[in-house]
Amino acid sequence: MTTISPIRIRARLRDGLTEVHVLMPHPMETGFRREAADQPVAAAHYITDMRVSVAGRDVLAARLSVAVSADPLLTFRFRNAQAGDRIAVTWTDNLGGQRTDESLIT
Amino acid sequence: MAAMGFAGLPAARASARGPAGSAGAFAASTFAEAMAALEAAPSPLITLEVPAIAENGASVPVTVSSALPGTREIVLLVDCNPQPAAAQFGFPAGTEPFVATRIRMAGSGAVVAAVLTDHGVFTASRAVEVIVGGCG
Repeated sequence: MTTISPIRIRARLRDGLTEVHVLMPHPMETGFRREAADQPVAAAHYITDMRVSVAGRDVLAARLSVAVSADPLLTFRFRNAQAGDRIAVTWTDNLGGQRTDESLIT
Repeated sequence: MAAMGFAGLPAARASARGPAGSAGAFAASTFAEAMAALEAAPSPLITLEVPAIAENGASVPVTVSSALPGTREIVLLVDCNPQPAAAQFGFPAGTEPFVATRIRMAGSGAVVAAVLTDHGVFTASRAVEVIVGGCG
């Protein structure tokens, strides 16, 4: 499996609401696509699940499919966190791949 | 999609108010089946923002928020895709019922946001004209 880049996480607290932007580099290969007309279909390879937690508490759980664009980008918002809290994002893909990265809320 | 271990339609129907309520929509292989599994009613309290025209079906921005009380999950569906359910988001207490992402559309069609609440399932739908399909 090719090496997949770290998840990029930006979490900013403003007026009690933390807005999070997550970018998960991943091919999100659909299983329908051919590199060229004479090539076989590229095997499906996509993120199936992702989870975001802050200080051990889940703040988002998502299930993705091949209908999510390559390098999935997500924005969401939650309450009850403080600047400096650690935010962790984990994804799992259909081939058993997994990646977790962390950032701090600013 | 059954190979991925998602529950079948009857289970989803029974647990429409539970944490696994959207599994049936994900298991469905046609848009009609997915919508039937959700047993949803349209609601003006769901805000669904998509472009009216998307040049590239490989990346269509979608923003959804729900003003419905007791919102637990949002499921995004695309009626023209080979597999209708695109993504599902679960919101624990303290997380706003809001999400923005980018999805693929095989062609022009409707994007549907299904919102699973403590009081039932509700939907909003918007048409998107796709210039170049995004599944090839």
